[in-house]
Amino acid sequence: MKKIIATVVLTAALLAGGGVAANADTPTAAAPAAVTPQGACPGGVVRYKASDSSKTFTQASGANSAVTGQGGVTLSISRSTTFTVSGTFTSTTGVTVSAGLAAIKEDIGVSVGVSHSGTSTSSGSWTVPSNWSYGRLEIGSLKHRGTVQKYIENTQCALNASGSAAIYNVPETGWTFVHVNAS
Amino acid sequence: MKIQRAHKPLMMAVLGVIGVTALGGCSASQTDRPTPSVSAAVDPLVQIKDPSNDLYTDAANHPVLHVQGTGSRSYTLKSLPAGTTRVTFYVSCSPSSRFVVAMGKNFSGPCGHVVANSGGIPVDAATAPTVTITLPKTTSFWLVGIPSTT
Repeated sequence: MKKIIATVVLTAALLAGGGVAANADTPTAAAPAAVTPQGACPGGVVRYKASDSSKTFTQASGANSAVTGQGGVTLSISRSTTFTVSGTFTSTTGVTVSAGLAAIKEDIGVSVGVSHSGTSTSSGSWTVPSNWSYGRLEIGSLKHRGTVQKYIENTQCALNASGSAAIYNVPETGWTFVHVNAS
Repeated sequence: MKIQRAHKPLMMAVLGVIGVTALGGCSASQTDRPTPSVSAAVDPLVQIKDPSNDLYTDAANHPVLHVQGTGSRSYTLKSLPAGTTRVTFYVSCSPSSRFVVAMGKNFSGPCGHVVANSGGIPVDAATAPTVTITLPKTTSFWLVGIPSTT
């Protein structure tokens, strides 16, 4: 009987505590065992950091990725054509391709792939400026070049590099049109 | 030695089969040599008239030019609709090469058996609307011109 009463009291206390926390919308205190000194980290946490060194336009492979015209001519590229821009990601034992691409998305803010292939949602229709002798419309992707380094966070929250950095030269997963003065 | 003697007829037979096969292969490859497949150029109007295609245009029912040929050719546009300011050209050509379409000004692109791009050339009222397509003499093509007033 004592056991049953104790259980009921404990359950009520837990429910009441949860209700208060939910109503006040304040974070609940962590269990004593999970509390760490202020400024300290659990240690052993793996983090990846991507650093872009350059971003350049790369024309898609295949002849259909460009069309040329004189000033005043309106050029367009069919959206039905499948284009491809290839890249490279040299992974290391510490940085896999998937971890590296995720780090680029988080740190650089763009979605990339080792290769980008597909059709465009736009024809990029463009009229060559009349003061240009020739202009060229090209479709391709912005290619990012840089490195991804693996770090391990210690208990003092300092990041220590682990292994060698992976090297990437990868296209964004979107299409870009550029206008080239081909005079 | 005994083993070699025992296998001699068998080896001769195997060598004979190999020889016959090799000769047969040579003979077959000379007579049945596959020719490289080249897709014929497809009429661009097929795409331009298809509402599901991104090249679709209402004006496809009234082309001012719709011709098929081989090599370089010239055509005169006899009757452009009133108010025409531009003619957009669509080219399909085969085999792989590079075309140039000129009507005063020009545009150029790669040959594809289906249309992969277009060029809208402004109409110059002062000159006769003659269209020239330049291609290698063995390259076949389809050329379509669609007028517009914008």
